Amino acid sequence: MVTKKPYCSYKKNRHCRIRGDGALSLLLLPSIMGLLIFYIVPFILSIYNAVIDNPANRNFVGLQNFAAVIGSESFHLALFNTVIFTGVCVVFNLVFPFAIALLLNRIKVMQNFFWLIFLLPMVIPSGSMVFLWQKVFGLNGLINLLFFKDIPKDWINSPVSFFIIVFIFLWKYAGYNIVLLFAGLNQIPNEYYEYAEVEGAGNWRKFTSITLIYLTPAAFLAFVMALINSSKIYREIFSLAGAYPHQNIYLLQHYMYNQFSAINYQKLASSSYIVTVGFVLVVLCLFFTQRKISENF
Amino acid sequence: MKKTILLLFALLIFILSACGESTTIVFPEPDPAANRTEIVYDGPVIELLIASSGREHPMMRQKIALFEKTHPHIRIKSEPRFSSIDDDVYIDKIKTALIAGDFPDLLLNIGGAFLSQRDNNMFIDFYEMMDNDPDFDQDDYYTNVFEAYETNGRLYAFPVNFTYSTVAINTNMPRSTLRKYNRMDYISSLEMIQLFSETGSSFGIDVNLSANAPYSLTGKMLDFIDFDRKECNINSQEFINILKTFKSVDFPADSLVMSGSKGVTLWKDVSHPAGRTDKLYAFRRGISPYEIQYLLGFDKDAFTNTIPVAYSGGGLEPISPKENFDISYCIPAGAKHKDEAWQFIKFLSGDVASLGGDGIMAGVTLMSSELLIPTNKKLFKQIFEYKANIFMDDLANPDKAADFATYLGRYEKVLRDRDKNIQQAYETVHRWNSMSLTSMHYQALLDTALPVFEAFFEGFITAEAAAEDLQNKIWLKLNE
Repeated sequence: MVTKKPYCSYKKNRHCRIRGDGALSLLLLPSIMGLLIFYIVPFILSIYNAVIDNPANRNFVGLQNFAAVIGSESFHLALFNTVIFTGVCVVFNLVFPFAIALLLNRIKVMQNFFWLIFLLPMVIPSGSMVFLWQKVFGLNGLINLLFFKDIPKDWINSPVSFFIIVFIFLWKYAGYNIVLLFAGLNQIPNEYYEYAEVEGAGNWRKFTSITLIYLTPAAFLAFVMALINSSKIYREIFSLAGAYPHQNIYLLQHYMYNQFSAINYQKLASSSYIVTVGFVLVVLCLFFTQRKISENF
Repeated sequence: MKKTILLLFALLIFILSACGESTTIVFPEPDPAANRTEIVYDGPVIELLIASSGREHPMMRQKIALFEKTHPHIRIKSEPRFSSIDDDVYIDKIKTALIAGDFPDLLLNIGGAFLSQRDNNMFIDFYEMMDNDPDFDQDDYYTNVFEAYETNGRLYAFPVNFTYSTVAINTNMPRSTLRKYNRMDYISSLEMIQLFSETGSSFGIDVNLSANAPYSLTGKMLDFIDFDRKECNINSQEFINILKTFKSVDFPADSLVMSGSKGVTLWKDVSHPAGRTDKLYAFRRGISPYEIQYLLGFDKDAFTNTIPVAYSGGGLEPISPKENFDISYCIPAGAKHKDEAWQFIKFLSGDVASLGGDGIMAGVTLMSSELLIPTNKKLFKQIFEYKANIFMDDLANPDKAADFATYLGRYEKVLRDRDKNIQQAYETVHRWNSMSLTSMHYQALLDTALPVFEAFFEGFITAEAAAEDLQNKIWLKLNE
């Protein structure tokens, strides 16, 4: 039997490898340049704005701007709200999708219909979504019409706005994690459950010793996605509640946007660097956690 | 493969070529050849770049021609990106230029548009320029107008002209006398001015806040904000009561116009901590030239003591006017030609700009609006006399006099029809305690407060909810 040689054996043929890598680099070049020009380079150059007093005088002030940001009460509030909001959203966006994924794993009838319900919010544009929730929670919204007709209230501008935003976040992004966790559940071999059954393990034991353990990689990915998506919801919060929302939902993005609006680039750059340091620390923790998980699996 | 690479490179070059620098088009210079006196000058010429929005630039061109005539070593340049645009676009472009470091040597300051830049010391302090210039005498100007434009004791915006909507303030009139005049119609105003003359009291012109409900409320809200400690108690019962009072007052229909372009005649009781009470009389904005002349021109001699802005005698604090629809200029701290820009500002605010060498109004339009008053004392008096002369000439013309009488009669009828409502409105408003006219912060808070007041006046939210919302928003803004 004659084995047909491949046209270009990538691993052994250096010429082929160079051609392949070169073409790949060229194709990536526009994206890399865009990332550099519009994100990386401006971010690095903004350190200049963070260490001067203003663009007219351009006097070097060291860490004065950073101190001003750290000393700002609004920044403290924004930081606190962001941490709480992220923590709550991430936890709920793991527990709730996990429960749904478990249920969907058992349901065999009308599964496609349920998938549609959970995935549809992800594709609805933000503008439409904002319009929808205003009609539900706004002053002339459905909630007031049904339950508070005599004493209507703008719920988006009230102390319960935090829970409304968490609800909107879950409504929009839970579908993604449901998909991830559902796929993770289906990756677990059925034989493990059968062996456990034979050994006399109960449902709870199977759940904790098999399901939770083997779902860890998928859960980790879902955790990371929930973390990333929790920062994206700012767009909807801003559209619903404006630049100065209720204090319960005043986030770091509000603080930075308002500095941008006031053209106070010094505080904007300083706060951006402070937030970046925080995110880098979180990412490093995730990185080490992910490595540990990978070693076990 | 080679074709692919070439195509990608071509695409890259195409994309990068779109990022080229835009060329600057110099605004066409006016041709002053007809009026220019030949001055031979061979020395170096400094190019001064100025920015004045589309509203002011047509007048600016004429002044530039006059200035260059007497200052041949300075050429003034303006660019369409700053000079052919609306005020709103102009403000954005200037803010961007300041951040980018590509700013003009002199720029028009529109109202409180550049407050945060002034707070951040991005402009020069004109007091320093004045102190270092032996040719400049502050006594030639109304220094209390300067005080209104101060930021932390520094003058970052030089007011060449300012606007007014009130007419007179009399420091000596008994309070009981003033109380009778709840509404300033023309007849009452004439009586008041007559009384001023008889008592021999000095009086002047002050600037009032836009006299409609939401704008007035924003000014009132300043009493509940401590800018130094960054605290506010807008959600206090006192402010809630004020909100309810405003709502209960039956303002005339046009007084709730949110743009502030219209106003309602409003009586304000201004009480100072020292116990002095000065009454400010607010006239409707958009008042016609005839009305101004009728009010102010009936006895020119009575105005020899006229000063703009409240008279601040007796060691008491003056009432700061609001920066509103004014003409003031700033020089960025990083400007290349600060001294030359200062020369031009002195020219703009001096009487030379009005005279043009041939007397007042020598074919030069001074201001974009009849409502503007020069800060220069000599110019101020000349313009009043000029307007009064025109009015007197018109009154001598039987047709024009008849027109005016008819106009006045129609206006009186409108006022009488609204009499009952306005009377009630002013009696209620008259009970206010005090009003802080802090010009610096008013504009900055207006954008945040107005939507809440709109929602309140339109009945969407209660006074308590409005106060709570404002407390929340203003606290965040203060502490950012």
